[in-house]
Amino acid sequence: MIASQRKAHKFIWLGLSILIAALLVLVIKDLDFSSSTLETQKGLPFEAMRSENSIVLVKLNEPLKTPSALVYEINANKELGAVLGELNGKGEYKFTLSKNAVGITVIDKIKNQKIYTTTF
Amino acid sequence: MELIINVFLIVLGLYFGLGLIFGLYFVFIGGTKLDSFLKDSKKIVRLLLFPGVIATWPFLLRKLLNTEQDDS
Amino acid sequence: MGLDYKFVLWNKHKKTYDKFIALGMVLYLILFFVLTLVTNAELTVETIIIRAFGSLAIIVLHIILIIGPLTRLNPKYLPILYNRRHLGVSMFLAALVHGLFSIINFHTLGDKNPIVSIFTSNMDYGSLHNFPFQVLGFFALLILFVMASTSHDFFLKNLSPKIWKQLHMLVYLAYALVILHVFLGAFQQETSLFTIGILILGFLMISGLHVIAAFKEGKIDSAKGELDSNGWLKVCYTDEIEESRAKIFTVKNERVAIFKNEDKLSAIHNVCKHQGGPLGEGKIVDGCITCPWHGYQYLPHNGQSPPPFTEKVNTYELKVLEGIVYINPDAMAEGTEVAPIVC
Repeated sequence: MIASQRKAHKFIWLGLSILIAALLVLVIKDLDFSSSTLETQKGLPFEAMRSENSIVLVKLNEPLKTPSALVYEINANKELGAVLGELNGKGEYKFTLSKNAVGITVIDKIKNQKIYTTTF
Repeated sequence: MELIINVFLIVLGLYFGLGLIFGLYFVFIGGTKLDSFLKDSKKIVRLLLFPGVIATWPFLLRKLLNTEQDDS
Repeated sequence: MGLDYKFVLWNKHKKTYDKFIALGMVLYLILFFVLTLVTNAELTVETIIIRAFGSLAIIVLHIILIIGPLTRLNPKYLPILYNRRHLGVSMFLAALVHGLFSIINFHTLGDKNPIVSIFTSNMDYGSLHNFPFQVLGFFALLILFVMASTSHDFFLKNLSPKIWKQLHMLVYLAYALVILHVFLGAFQQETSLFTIGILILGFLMISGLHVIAAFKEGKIDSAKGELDSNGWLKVCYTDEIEESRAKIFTVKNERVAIFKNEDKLSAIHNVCKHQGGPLGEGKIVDGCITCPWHGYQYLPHNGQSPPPFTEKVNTYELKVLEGIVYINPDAMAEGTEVAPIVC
């Protein structure tokens, strides 16, 4: 490399290191999950937390016994809203809610049974 | 926002569309005027260069025009 | 060097290098498929392909970005730099498979143009954590396409080395876009602390090595030598340079190679015009300074490639007083004839 390229590399990497590090920290900060766990229903392996900005985190502590588990949002009229996604096994899941969502519900579509419901 | 996206994608599409037309001309005819090494290269080399010509066509067009001006 | 362009400039070493690249990539993909099927059998084949090729592209991108600073810190890594171009094209192909499968899987189901859909399926451009990460991936892939498609000596020559190098330095922007693409994707689609952890480790390693290498080079650049009354820089004793070899010195922030050829000394700029290879680490073959990277050649007395080639590098004036070599720090124009100095 010639001297000017060496200099350019130095400033690009100093800049990138600071910029990327700052962005990653800001993204994590922006997520800001409220630490309070929403109402959990006894006997069910669910924990649901909602961040300040329309993301809901669902923690499934053990596998479900039901064959299917679709997550729906509950809209302002307390009706079933859009499908947010599916729970496939133990783990943490994140779903983005629409602005007027007031809660979520997990439904077994095969047996057509509500497994879990929580409102915010 | 949607307007910005649409304008951007149209500009991007035009860039690559024009690149495609220029690329065809360059690979079959124009390239050898710019670089005599291309004359003796195998045809498959031109095929390999094609995507790159589409991506960087304004630079190559400018150089091709300068070369033609110098020749005349 | 030749008078025509080759499809791919292969030689024995490059073929071995490429076999390692291909084998490594195939083994990774097989391992990824097997491990995913064992641990997460519910995933669809398309999802596994998207994740396998995406993660492969990121791993190869990390390797590519780490080669540069590693060789600057320790020259024993130079052999990996030798064929970085093929590694770059392989990485683009892996990223392309990831991109195409993602577009087919997520953006071709509606009535919108799939490319428009990448930009409009999530319009949360004002959000930091919910920013449409697909758009970042699209731009990164676009940059990687420009780089991979111009990875041929034809473009290096015809775009000019300066523009070519500038285009290829866009890889750093692509890296930043890829990091944010994966980081946001990992947050929005699944909470994978493992992915995020590995990504942060990779980022710390790459940026750390680049910054350390940059400061090391800066130290070499700022080293001050002893000047004589005419402002010429004292560099070494004549017998410190081996016959047909060179020693490299820093003169006014630039690296200069002083070669000894048949007991005469000549100095030229250390940077090869082809891909910036260190000429001073090469040797003189058939009277020509030969670049250790790709064999580009220059005549010691004028820094010009022998005809019909047209590459030229700067030359420098030398003098020898009582066995000590002095160099005029002001470079001569590229290709200027300077008579070699007898030791």
